[in-house]
Amino acid sequence: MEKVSGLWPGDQSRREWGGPFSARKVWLAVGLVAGILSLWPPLRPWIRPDGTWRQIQASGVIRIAIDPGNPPFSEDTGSGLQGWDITLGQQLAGLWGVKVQWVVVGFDGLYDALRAGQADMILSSLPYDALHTEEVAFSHPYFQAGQRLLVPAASPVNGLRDLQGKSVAVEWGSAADAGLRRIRQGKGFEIQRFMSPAEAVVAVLEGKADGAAVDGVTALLISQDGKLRIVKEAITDEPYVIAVGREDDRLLLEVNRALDRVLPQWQKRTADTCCIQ
Amino acid sequence: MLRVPPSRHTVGGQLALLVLVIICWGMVGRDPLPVTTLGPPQEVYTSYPSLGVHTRLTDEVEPRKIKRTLQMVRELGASWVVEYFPWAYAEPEAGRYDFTHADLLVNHALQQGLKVIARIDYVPAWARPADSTVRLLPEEAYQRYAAFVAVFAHHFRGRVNYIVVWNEPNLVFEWGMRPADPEAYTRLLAQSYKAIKAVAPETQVLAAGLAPTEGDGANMSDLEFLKRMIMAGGGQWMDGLAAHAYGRTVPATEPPDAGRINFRRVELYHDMLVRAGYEGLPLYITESGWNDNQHWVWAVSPAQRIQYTLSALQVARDWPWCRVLAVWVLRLPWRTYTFQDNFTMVDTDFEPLPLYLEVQKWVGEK
Repeated sequence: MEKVSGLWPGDQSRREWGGPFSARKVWLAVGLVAGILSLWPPLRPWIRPDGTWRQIQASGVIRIAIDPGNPPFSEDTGSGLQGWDITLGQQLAGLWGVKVQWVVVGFDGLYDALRAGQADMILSSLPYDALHTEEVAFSHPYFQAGQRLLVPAASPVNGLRDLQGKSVAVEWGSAADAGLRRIRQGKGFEIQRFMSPAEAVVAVLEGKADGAAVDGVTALLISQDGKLRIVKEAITDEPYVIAVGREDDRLLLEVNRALDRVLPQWQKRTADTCCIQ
Repeated sequence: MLRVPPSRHTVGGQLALLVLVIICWGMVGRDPLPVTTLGPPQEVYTSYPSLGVHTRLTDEVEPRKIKRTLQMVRELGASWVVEYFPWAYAEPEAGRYDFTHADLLVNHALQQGLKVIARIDYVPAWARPADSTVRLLPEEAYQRYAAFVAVFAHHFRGRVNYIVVWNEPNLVFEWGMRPADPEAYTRLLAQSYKAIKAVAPETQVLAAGLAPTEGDGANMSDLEFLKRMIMAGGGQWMDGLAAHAYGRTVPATEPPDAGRINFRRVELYHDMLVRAGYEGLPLYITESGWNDNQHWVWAVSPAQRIQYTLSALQVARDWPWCRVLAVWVLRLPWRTYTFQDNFTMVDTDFEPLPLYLEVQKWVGEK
């Protein structure tokens, strides 16, 4: 076909690029598609595996930063570290076929340990904190530490909306008290205040209140004997997460995959062991 | 007839125009960006005129948050606000002053009807040795600090009438990682006092609040530090003494004892001033409170925190020598996820915490 020149600028260069399926065009298209796909987050870990994950695999060791001062999640008993976070870290490492090297730092130093390359990840009852998302990536939540509602096992209360006309016992001034004051508007429930969470729970057990608001850990501990159960809908949201470096896409992917696998077992173990406290 | 030559970029130009139209269309009907104004002047209604609160607005950038914070101070029933004004922020280079942020803060405070107490420290790099901490002020630089607080007093004359010279100089950390030195601090206080009085004689110069501590070598007991300050002539270089009255784990009513850190320890400060002949010098409690973080060694329960704080208000009412009782701290700009969060009265999102509501109720009822 005879080409009519001069219709479009760059006709000359088009001639040089050849026909519609020339090798150059195919490679250009392939490069373009690969470039676009590499920007798609789910594919990034595979196209650009991070050095941290490779290092863990090569060394057979994952370095986990932890503050051992937060029982029942972590505690230095003198004979070693113990707690729910320790168990979870070991379960994750077991899945990956590596050993855990615990990097013990105070809570204030956890992010610094990650930033300075002293640890590969943080697993230390760490609350999700949007302020740090520029420098770290957070896993899926593994524990809801927010304020929870405990009700008698046979209670009809299954959510915060069901509290209309009910009374909720709480420790005066606690985070649970703050949470209840915050959500009370429009829900029509009464708050009974006590000097300790234990007194609030006793009030429910004695039938003087319809529910008790306590933190997630306390709720888990108390609900073990089956007399009270935790209402699924939390009063406040404070998920605990694992943090890895912002660029460690592959490690993050592996953490999330591993959490999906080990969490049911871990939750059962925490429930079993929490009654020992 | 005039003929317009065809553009060489007709397609591109039209596309750009289209984009511009779309952007403009998107903006039509939208609310303009909020502008924070001072608003009408307010008054504090309170049954407790000496109630204050320490704010932490130094690192708060947004004017609306500054305004909301100070509104909440007023709504609490507090007439006084204590705030930290870092020297390095306001004089980043020697002789070049920038009070933009400080002005914003002070103007909002005044509009809410609040009285401002300014604590000044944080040494700029140009006034200290290289690689030193921001709290190290060499003696040869005392005059620079004094010159700055004088400029500050002059700039805020009639607006900020109380200036605290330094903070907790009895601690190694606050004294630039050097052993506490009450005589050296007294010399700094004297120079600052003279410089401030030269430009704003009515401005009240307050000696630094000391950290309540038993002392452990380099950190000096607050009582020992104050005694040596007075012996060094410190009493004549202050119009009042700032004080930090933390209750740790005991109730506000526990009697003072030199061997105990408790809320009423400030009575020992007052006694010391009286014995030295400075009975007219008032105390300004610029920090006080209890903490309820269960992982901190000096914590009480949340219920005790409220009880003790309300009790402290009652106790301090009987102290005629106490001009201000300020609680540490109203709000922090962001959550630290440490025990520091458990000193706050208002959440980072401006939700009042139970302590705020209980103090507000108590002040309103009395």
